[in-house]
Amino acid sequence: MKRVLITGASRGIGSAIALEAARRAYDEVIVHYHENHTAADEVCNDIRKMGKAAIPFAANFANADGVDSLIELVRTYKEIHGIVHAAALNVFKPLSALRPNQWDLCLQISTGSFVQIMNAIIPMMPSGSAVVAVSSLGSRMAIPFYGPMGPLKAALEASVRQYAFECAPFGIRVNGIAPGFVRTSSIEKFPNATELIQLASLQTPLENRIAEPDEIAPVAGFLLGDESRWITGQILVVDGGFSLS
Amino acid sequence: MTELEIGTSVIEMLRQVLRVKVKMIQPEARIFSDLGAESLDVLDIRFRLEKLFGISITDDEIIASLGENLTNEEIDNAFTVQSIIDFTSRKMSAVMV
Repeated sequence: MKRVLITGASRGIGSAIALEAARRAYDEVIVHYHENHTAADEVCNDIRKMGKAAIPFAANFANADGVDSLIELVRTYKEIHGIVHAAALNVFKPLSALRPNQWDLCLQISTGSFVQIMNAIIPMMPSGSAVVAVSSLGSRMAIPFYGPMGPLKAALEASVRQYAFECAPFGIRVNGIAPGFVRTSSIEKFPNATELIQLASLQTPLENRIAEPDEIAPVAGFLLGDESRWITGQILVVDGGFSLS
Repeated sequence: MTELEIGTSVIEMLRQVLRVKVKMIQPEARIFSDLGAESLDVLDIRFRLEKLFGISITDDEIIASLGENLTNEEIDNAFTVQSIIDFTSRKMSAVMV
């Protein structure tokens, strides 16, 4: 029984990766979500239609206790073979206008929870397991109104490299993906969303458009799978060439 | 817990979240217009109320408690420090029942 945990799996890139994991070698997908029960149920139903098991679990990552509740669930199993961290929270404003509580909340949900989950669950992962963290291009380039997300994704990517180094002796690989602009509900939260999507589309040499979530998910699936067994500590940019120019 | 104790805790929580001076956190102070809160701060306030008082608050419950079919301006006027204290007191009473 191969099992994978997907955080932030009720919508956007996270839900697309949950479905991708079910299409692949995983028999059971733990679908973490915050509070959108309806969306999580839809993802779980789609997974079950593929003949795989789905376990929805609501947990608020805003504090360590919430993350612990998910860890407790995972600990009821003997092993877990994959983790995908897609949970994130952002406030779409200039970084220079951020208040400390906004930084703390976004940090805890987007990056702190990943460290907490990894530290608790790594001992449960057998050799051959894989971890994928969902980063973004904001980790390496400035994006207007992207608030704290760029710096927090940079921290996430640094965590990926550190975990890759520390987990390699146990046969566990840790990688990340850095999508460019993707058509999700998050992009609509930019105050300049329409203009941003137009500009990003023009600057994307592949088909002059932004990505759909199901174009990102297979790359995460590849990094989870055995075909990427010689890759660890890497962040794959998935942006249709947006960052080339 | 008395309403006074709830009020004291709520005011300290708002001070920490919104980084405003305590003297600005008057009962009638509007959370958005007077204290400068943004939507993410309302989420933060909700999470902190849950942890501080051991209550469970659903998405949009705080704003919905202000009344039905309110305009943005009406929400802004109704969403005050006192409204959060009242909301918390009601939730606490429900927990005790």
